Parts: sequence; C-alpha cells; structure tokens
Amino acid sequence: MNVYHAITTTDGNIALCAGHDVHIDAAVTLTRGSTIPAQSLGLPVGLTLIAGADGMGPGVGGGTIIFSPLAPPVTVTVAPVAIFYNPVSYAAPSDFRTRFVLTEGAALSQRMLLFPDGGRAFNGATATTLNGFRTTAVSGAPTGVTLVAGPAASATFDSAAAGADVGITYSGYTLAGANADQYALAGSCCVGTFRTRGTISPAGVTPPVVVPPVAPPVVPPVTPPPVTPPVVPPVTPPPVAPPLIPPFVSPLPSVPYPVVTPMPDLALDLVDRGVRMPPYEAAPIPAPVEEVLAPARPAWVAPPVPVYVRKQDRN
Amino acid sequence: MLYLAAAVLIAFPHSSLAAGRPYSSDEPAAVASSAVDEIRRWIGETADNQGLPFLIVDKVHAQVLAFDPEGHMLGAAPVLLGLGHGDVSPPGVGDRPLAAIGPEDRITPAGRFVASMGENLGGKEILWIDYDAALSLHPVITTRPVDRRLQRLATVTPQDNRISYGCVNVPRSFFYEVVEPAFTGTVGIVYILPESRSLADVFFSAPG
Repeated sequence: MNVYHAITTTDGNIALCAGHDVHIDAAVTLTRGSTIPAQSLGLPVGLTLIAGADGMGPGVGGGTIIFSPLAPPVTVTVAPVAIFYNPVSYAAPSDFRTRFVLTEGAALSQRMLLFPDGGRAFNGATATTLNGFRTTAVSGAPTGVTLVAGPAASATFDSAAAGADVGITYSGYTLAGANADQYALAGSCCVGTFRTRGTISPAGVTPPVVVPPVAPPVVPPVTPPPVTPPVVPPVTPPPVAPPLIPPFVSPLPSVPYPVVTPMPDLALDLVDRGVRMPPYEAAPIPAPVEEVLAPARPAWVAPPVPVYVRKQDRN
Repeated sequence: MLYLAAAVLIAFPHSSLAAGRPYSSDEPAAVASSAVDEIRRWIGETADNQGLPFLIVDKVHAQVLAFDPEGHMLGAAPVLLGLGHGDVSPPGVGDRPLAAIGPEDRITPAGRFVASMGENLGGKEILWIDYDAALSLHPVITTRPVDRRLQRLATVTPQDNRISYGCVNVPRSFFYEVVEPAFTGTVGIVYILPESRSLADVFFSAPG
C-alpha cells in the first residue's frame, strides 16, 4: 500500500491496512477522529496503520511501515494512532515516533505482529491447532507474551496438502503475558480472523534406515624388507588385444520396489511404480481491505468522590 | 466512543408520564429536543464525560436523561426546576436561607457540573450538583402540599414545572432506580442546558 498523495481528514478516521508494507510518501494529516457512524465508517478512532496482515511474517519481509525520506511527518491532533508492523527483531522494536507530530493529547501505540505456529503432520484435514510463535534466526523469539486459545479457538489451513508455510486462517486466540501490550496478532482486514502459516509435513513416510558405515579394521602398516630386484634381460612385449568394454548397464537395484497400496480414502494416481502428486490448490487469499479494530477507549481515572457535610439545599 | 453509533435520542412526551410511566429507558418513540441531541453528540465526540455517568437536564422541556459511562441511555424522567428563569446562579445564593431567596433568584443554573451523592441538612440522600451553590437533584419533595409538585410532574406541559428554589426534583423511582445506582461510588457529570444562553456559550466555548 502506497500513500503517494496527501491525505487529510478532520473529524474522521484513517486506516491503512496492507498485507505487506505500508509506504508513506506524502503527508497524512488527521484532526480529531470520529465515532459518528456516518463519519467514522466503522473504522477505529484516529489513525491506524497495519503492515503485514497476510501472515507472512515474522521479519520485515512480512510487512512493515516504510516512510519515504522526504515524506513530511504524519500529523495527528486529538486522536489516537495505532501501528502494527513486523520488526527486524522482536528484541529491537522499531520506533516510529520521530515520524509523527502528535498534539493535543494524540497518543501513539506501536505493536509488533506475532504469528502463531500451526504446523503439524499431514492428516488429510485442514483443521489445526496453534502453538507458540513462528520465529526466524533474525527475528528471534518474542518474550513476555504467550498465545492463549479461547473456548471457540479455531485454525484452518488453506489446503490440506503437505507443504511448507501453508497459510492458516484462525480466530479465538489472544495474547497474554507481561509484554502482551507490545504485540498483536496479524489480523486480516475487515474480518474478525487472523493469518499465519504452518508446515504440513508428509505423513506415513518412514525415514530410511541409515546403516552406519563399517569402518575397516585398522591394520598397522608393514614395512617390507628391502629387496634387491634381480637383473632381467629386456623382453619384447607381445601384442596386446584391446580391452573388452562391457555395455552400459542401468544401475537398477536388484531388490524389488515396494508395492504401493493406496489408502481407501485417498484418491492416489498411481503411475508406473510411483504416485502422481495432486496439483497444488491454494485457497484464494482475500484482498487486503481496511480492518476494523476495536476502538481503544481512553483509560479515564475517575476523580475521588468528595465527602460533603450536610447542608441545606435549594429544595 | 462507539456509543454514538446508537445516538438515536430517546425521549419521552409528557403524555407518557401522565399515563403513569415515571421514566423510561427504552421507549423508541418520542423525540428529544434538538439541544439534547446536540449536547449528547458533543459529549460522545469529545468524551467530555471522561468515562463517567452523566445526566442531561433540559430546562426548556423540563426533563432529565441519564446515561452510563459508555453513553447508553439509562432512563429519562420529567423534572421540576427553579422558579426563576435564567442560566446563572445569583452570587452567594448557596449560603442564603431559603426564605432569603426571592422568586427571581430561584434559578437552576446552566452548565457542566461534577456531581456526587451526598445528604442534605435533613440527612436525605441527594445528588449534589453544585455544593457551593446548594444545588442538588433529589426525589420530588412533597412536604408542602400547596406546591402540588407531584401533579406538576405528571402534567403534559413543562410550563408548570418551575417551582423549586433552584434544585432539580425528579420522580422518586427515577432517583432510586436510575440516579442513585449510577452515581453510587463515583462522581458523574450533570449537564444542565441553558434556556436563555446558547449551547455554544455554555459548553462549546474554548477554555480561558
């Protein structure tokens, strides 16, 4: 998603939600968010930037906020700003504050996206369970945050076929922990579900038995005694016939292949002595659209209740 | 501030009160005054209630509407108001005995007040709107039959609802079932709409 031209709203909200990056190349100005339905369009109050909603993180390759060097700072007045992005490393969150001019109580919250892991062995179904978070060597692991499955938690692979990094749509999971407020789950825009990935490893594949190589016995070298060669008169060698080259033979093993027996509930396409893999079917990924986030209401602190002495009022 | 999504104001005609319904929280009918509509929108947009329960007192139509901290309407009822017309309390009125408050000074002032539960001199539970000005909201007083306060609350017209020394009188059921639960253990905001000044003058002007 690219902001090539200035965006300005007064008494309205802005939500920029991208599957991957949000590029801001021009001015973004928001003055006072709105909760009036006709004005708010159901968007969270204020400015919302989401980069990485399609669940391809972690890592900046999964989507982050990119400000053009010449882009003016985003100006927000009397409204909250919420940023959801992929950091390079969870241990070193990005700080976008320098890219904003926040006035009259405008506040900025910055959350790193987390991607629960749903990998499991192939079982022919698409349902899965999420555990922990996906990490890379660069991203490291998030700290102080855990994944909590709610009573209605569900996660579904895009495809039941075995494969690496298969897309997952899920819901009903939340974050907990002392640092949970620094993170967020990668949500698909305008829907209540989230996105991540997981690897479906092939099932029923018995790893080959690896026979360790047998080391030959170590025989200490024997130094032969010096031998004085006898003096032999030169001999004219007889003509030698060219060597007989054997024909090329395919190195087929002498052992028979195992017989492939299809499982009754799997429509396997047997070809020769193998199985033709079905074509990869990827579920369509909905186009990123703006997401509706629950608006964060300010945490008001109620003033203390005064204690008045009894007094005549004006009836 | 999503509560403005349901910002269809609900009010009550005095006729429904005459029919024996002292207050309502869910009547779909009727139309609130435009001033109530405007102030309620403003509260929602600015979160002026700061997460506190609030009341809107409409002096022109002699009614009060109660809302929870999220802006959900809790109920509405007719009110009795100060006999005098105007939007500003006379200086020192809160320290005068009742007998020293002339009819023209018996004004229910307009403005935004931080209110809390308390007791009057007789130990009766009231909602202090402006303690210094002795301004409160309380169950309708019936100790002076000549005032005919219950009848005034029950009539259709708001014209006869000006009888008090400045305090806001509400039906007992509204006070104990709506106001007291909403304001117990917390302060709240009372917005009293003006009758001679504009909303902008009273509420929307820049501070200072």
